[in-house]
Amino acid sequence: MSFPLDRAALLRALSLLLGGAIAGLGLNAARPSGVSLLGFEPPTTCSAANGQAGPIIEVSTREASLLCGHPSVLFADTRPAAEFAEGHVADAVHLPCDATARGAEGALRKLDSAQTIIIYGASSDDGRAVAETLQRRGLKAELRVLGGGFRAWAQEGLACASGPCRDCLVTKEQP
Amino acid sequence: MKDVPWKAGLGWALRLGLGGLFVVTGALKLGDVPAFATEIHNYQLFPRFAPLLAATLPTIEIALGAALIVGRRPWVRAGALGSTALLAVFTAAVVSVVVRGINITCGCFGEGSGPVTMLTVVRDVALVAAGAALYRLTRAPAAKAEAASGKRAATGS
Repeated sequence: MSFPLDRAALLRALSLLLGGAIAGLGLNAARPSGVSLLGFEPPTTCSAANGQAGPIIEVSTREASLLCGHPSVLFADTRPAAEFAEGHVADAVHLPCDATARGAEGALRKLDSAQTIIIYGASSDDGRAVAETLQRRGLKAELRVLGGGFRAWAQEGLACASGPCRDCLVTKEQP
Repeated sequence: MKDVPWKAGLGWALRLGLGGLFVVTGALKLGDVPAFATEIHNYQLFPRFAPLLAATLPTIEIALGAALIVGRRPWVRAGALGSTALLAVFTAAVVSVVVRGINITCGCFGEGSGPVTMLTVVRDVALVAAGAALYRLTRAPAAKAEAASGKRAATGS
């Protein structure tokens, strides 16, 4: 199947692309909800991008459980919604890798109020990728990664009861 | 020279299918441009251009879609060419995501488009093929006659 390019079609196609682009820029400038072309900063991404980030301290499940309930500490869960629904550290903010931008913005607003954020995924690496991204974004809070992720937390039998985290109890399953 | 009926039918199906798709996806993306910019940024290809692409791509898609649906033959052909080129770029982007193993949402239909997988790649390749087919179907009648006579001359019939 040949695909001959004709000049007239090419010029018309370019005019459609250019016209669409100009209309888009005009519309974006006119809308209050438009995106900033120069100062745009995405809310979050999960996969590590280029850029330098310092080491992020890993905390054990035991250390994390002692911090749970402290008013200045927040837990952030990076696992998908289904896994989060099955079980999570109580009062954890859900910040999944597949979060929509709007969802991520909402989660980040909550995280901004914390002095320490303990991030966890299914494993340590999952949480670390998000923690590094948040660090690059200049989040002021101290970032920690839960060693072993939620898997280790669940294996230890640790869980926060539902409700506000300051009232929650760190419980250990009785044999 | 008139179109063969099945070709005319196929042409209209491709025009309405591709054109409708572009208008709808463009409008969805236009609904939340900052969110779309984030989706583009997540591809980690040209993050600096994410806001510029987010501001311009939705209206480009709508312009191409409108040309495909309501344009006269030369504009439909131009729309098909532009759509094919744009879809080829989208395909390259999703292929790169699959190859690099990045876990991101597609952003193809605005927010909540689902993750990029091999299925996304297959769908995009099919759309590129549809655009190319429409471009070929919308050749000017004179060019078609010329091509046909050239073929006859080549075969000596």
